Amino acid sequence: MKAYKKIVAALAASAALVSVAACGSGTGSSSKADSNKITVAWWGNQQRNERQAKVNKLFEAANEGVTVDGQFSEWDDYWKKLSTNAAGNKMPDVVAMDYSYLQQYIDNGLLVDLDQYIKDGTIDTSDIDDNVLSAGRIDGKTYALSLGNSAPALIYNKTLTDKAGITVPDNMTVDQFVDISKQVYEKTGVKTNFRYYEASELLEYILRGDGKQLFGDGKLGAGEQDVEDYLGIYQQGIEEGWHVAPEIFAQIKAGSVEQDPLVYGTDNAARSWCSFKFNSQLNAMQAVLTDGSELAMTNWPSADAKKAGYVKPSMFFVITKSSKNPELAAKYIDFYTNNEDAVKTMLTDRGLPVNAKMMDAIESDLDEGDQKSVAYLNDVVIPNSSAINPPAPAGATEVNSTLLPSIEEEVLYGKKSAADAAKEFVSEANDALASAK
Amino acid sequence: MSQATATLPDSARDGRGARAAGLSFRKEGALQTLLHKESVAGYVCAFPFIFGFLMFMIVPMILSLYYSFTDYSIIGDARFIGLDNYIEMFTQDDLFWKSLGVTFLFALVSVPLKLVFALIVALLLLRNSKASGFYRAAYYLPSILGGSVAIAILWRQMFATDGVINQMLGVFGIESRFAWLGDTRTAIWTLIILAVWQFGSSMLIFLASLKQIPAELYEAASVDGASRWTRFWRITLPLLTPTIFFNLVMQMINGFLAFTQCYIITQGKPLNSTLFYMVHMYDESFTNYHAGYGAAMAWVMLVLVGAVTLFLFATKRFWVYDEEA
Repeated sequence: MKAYKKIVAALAASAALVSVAACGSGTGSSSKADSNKITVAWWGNQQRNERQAKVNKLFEAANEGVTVDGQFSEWDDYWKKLSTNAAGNKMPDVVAMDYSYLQQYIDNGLLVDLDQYIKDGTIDTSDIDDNVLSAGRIDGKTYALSLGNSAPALIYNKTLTDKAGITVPDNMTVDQFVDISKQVYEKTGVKTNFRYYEASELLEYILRGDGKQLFGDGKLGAGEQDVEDYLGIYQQGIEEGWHVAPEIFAQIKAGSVEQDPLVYGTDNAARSWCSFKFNSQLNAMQAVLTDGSELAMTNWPSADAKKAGYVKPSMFFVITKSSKNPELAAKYIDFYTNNEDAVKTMLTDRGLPVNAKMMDAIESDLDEGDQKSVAYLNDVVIPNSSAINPPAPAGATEVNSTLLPSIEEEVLYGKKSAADAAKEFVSEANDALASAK
Repeated sequence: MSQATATLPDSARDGRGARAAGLSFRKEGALQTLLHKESVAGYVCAFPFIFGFLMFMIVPMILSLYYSFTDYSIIGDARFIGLDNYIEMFTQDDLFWKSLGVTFLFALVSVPLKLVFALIVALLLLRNSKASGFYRAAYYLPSILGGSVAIAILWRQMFATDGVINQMLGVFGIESRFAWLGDTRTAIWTLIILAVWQFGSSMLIFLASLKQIPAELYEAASVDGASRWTRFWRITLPLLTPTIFFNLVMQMINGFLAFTQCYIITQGKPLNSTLFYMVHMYDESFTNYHAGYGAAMAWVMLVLVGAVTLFLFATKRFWVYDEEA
């Protein structure tokens, strides 16, 4: 018995030693492998994930011995994962960055300054317009490279509105939009989703139309009356029956393109004739729609389309300070932006390519949806737009992802009047912005 | 190292026995004597656990206690703010109280229901038949699957307006388009039903302890003319109380810490009527970037779970059968 115990002990001891030894050599070889491996993370839908995976393969093929590990998540989960990675200094090398989060990540020193790579030519920006580059430039340093331009777009089911004999004009006012929503409901029974349970871009957009800025300096740039007008649309929609009921939203994942009421519901009460999205999302939504309906788009409603409209860098690539191989990461960004095959693979998934030459190269490859997207940006938005608001401050995250959705929910369920909800929203949003300063 | 492992079978075969068998060293030395000690074997075997316990339990707990006194945004640095997080939680955060209420309702309703259900199924499966093995496995399955994302999504589909539940009601002539997940009165019950459905592990423990009850007791009772019902109330249930107690404590703790069901199926909707404490904590930490506040919430929950467990132990002497007493 005793002998047996000793054998076990010796085995355990040698096993422990072996594993320690294995660890030692393991880290040695893996750090060697690290120099040829980069991790790229983005948020997205099925279509983007497939295209991005192809680009990663192309990059591997063009650079022998290099492996790209692609990681994708849905929008909500993406930011949770990234922040946790940031805390452990384990962020992927290249990450997709949104305009609304950019400032926080720069403020906390988590991103690498790209100017050095632009200067030494690793990232070639000669064919990129300076206006585009400046979107990722904060305090004179380029931290982020825009991957494409996009603009807010009201994507709607044209087959449905045509059948009902309703024309949806460009540059609508909010009242016109409400009118159309009512007509659609009366004629078809299909309801409306006024960007319920998503971030605050629509509120921001409508405020811009009135010459106001949602996130001012450390406090809300909107008054209670402004918010009340906005929330009043939900209240009116529920009272008059043309807004999708909140019970429906309890069954879907908010913000997901695949489950958006425009394309997902089977039942008229669960469907919306339109969705407040961005023009780059048209194709992804069209792909989910299986009943053969055709989607079209126009700009979001506001009092003044020119003041409200803006072109947004749809997203950026940044290199994180966790990256062990920022040169290779920079090479990847360059490949993504300037390589013809890569651009032809992504097409307009992240908006129109920023490289002007590539824009010409892909023109013949654009399918109908892409062409609509291009035409919309060039013909509708650019003539009717003004400069984008500065990047959102840190507390804006809480306003976007928690405060506004829950206030909208209370209005839709009839728990609070638009006026009371507006009062609460303004005071809580100001608290959140002040405490995050 | 390779040499060391190679010597092992050799020395074992040539009959030098245990003294040499455990050794990878040719010469007797201090190290060898050390390795021979019983206590060393103990430490070596316990090392993986001790290491894991320190690294993955104690260190994170200490860190989390520290962060609970800070304003920590995860992507930034932590700033010490004393008791502010705790003060805010008790005085200003309505959702803290709301989620606490939801979690208590969930745990206090789902756990007793689950135990009753588990006990009934265990009694049914006690009979030895050819199929009983199959049924035991089949009923245990939900416990394994129930916490998974797939089941959570299935649940969401089932209770949707055009889901299976409403269709089944249609079969019985009740035309229903009711949004079970969209109504504040019913949403929490869909989560409770899911929890009760995961009765398998409690059921197995009940089964094992039902088999421990001596058959003589039942025989004696039958001779005295006790009915099945009396036998259950007078013999089975009293002798089962220690197991019931164990299941109750374990499931209660699980109930308070429930997360997945809410996070995936309802996300707290509608109107936070299904917002579990753990999900609120997660949202504060990772959505709103108030990780310090989240850490403080975790410690409050730890104290609460501890208090509930102590309370259960305090009631033990009133209803749990103790062989030694």
